[in-house]
Amino acid sequence: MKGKKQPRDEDLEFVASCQAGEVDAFEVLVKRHQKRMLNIAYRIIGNYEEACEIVQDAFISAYKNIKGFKREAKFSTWLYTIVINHSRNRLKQLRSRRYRETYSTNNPIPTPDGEIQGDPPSNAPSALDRLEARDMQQQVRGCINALDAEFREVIILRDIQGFSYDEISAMLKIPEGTVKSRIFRAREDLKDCLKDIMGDL
Amino acid sequence: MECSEVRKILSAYIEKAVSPKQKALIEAHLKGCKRCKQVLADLKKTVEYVQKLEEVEPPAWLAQKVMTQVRSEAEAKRGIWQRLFTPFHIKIPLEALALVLVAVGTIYIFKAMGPEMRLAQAPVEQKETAPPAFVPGKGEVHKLAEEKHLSAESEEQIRYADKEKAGEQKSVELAKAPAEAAKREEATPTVGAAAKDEVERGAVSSAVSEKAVGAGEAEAIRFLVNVKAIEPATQDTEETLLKLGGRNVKTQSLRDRAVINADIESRQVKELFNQLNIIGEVQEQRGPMEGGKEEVGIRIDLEKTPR
Repeated sequence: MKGKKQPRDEDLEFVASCQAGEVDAFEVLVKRHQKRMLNIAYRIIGNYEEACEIVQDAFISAYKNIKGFKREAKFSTWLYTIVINHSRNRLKQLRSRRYRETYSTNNPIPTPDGEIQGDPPSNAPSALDRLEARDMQQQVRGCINALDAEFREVIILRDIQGFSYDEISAMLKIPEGTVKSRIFRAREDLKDCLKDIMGDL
Repeated sequence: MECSEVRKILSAYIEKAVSPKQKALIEAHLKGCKRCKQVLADLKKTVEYVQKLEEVEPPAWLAQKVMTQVRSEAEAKRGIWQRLFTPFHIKIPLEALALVLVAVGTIYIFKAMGPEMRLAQAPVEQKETAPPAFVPGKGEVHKLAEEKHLSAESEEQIRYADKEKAGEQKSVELAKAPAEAAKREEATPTVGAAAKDEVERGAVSSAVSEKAVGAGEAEAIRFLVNVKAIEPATQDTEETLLKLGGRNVKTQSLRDRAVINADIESRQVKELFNQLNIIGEVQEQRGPMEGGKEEVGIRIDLEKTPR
């Protein structure tokens, strides 16, 4: 399988220790992967505290199921699959509570002072200048959050986390071709969203 | 190439994931199409923005919290075997358990072997005597005894029977003596409760072995008789039993009491009762007084009348 052509997985010795019942070995894996897992969860869910909870749960269930890890893929890929699934599930729960504020230019944006209309599309070049870097990040985040889950996931994994198509295909359990088409589609949507907000890029 | 076609694969183009032929076509188109060039620039910018998104740092407590939970999970998951070995994270309990088992086993074996060990020592302490000279019909009984003594296990008893009788303890063996007799004959010359206990135990084991030897024998009939003096009363009782056709007469004597076991025909029980009333005062009687020709076990406890 694909596992064969992958470079040596430096996690494996610790995984083996965990499988043999050495709890401390798991700590190494936690420290090694927590940041990336948190960032994946955070981008998918859009809330830092929630993301921390998700990462915890993902690590716990990874530990419980570590004997089921068959080394067909890299351990990290297996781990990230778990955190993605946990994030998806949590997102569904939150969605049903309308927790996550979606970002859309066409819908009113809720603010403490009441609802304001998003900036209408404008070609004024000064729009970008007015935005500070922090705001810029906020806009990008908002637009990412506004993407459909399947497109958001591929953008996060490809453009933010820099995984290969191969790895993404393994994590999301979809064919590589689908990964590619989703990425391209997601970028288009993202670009349009940003242009809608900022007028120009 | 049409603009729409080009735009579809622009994302692949910036990933350099297009074939050389497609690449050439796209680049040719871009030269002449300002709008598509703008789209490409926007796309590149978008990816750039996304990539520039700041990463978040995990809080310090995250790994700690995970490990705390993982450890308690591991604790709960520890198999029953591991828990047996290290219930308190100390590796002793199985060894301790083994030690306890060995100790219990040793005690049990010792207890089970006890009677045999005493049996082995019995000859040293135990004195057996020939029936007293005054017992009528002694010759007959003796003959019977000798017949029995032909069996190998009884030979020893004859040897001891020849020896001098000494000590406070007196064991009288009349008539047939199964090998087990040696065991039940044993009674230590202690006084008080301990002695009584010992006799009691001897009697019980005697009843048990008798039951085993004499098949079909009825449950022992018991008499408790208060007498003025143990020694003569014992002799009288033995005499009486023999007169009434008693067999297997066995006597255990202690200072203040004696226990006599015998088998007699159950129709003789009533007469025995009457005779015992002459010898002493029958305090207690258990078992049927009437019967036919079948043999029953009799146990007579002689006790010195308290003054």
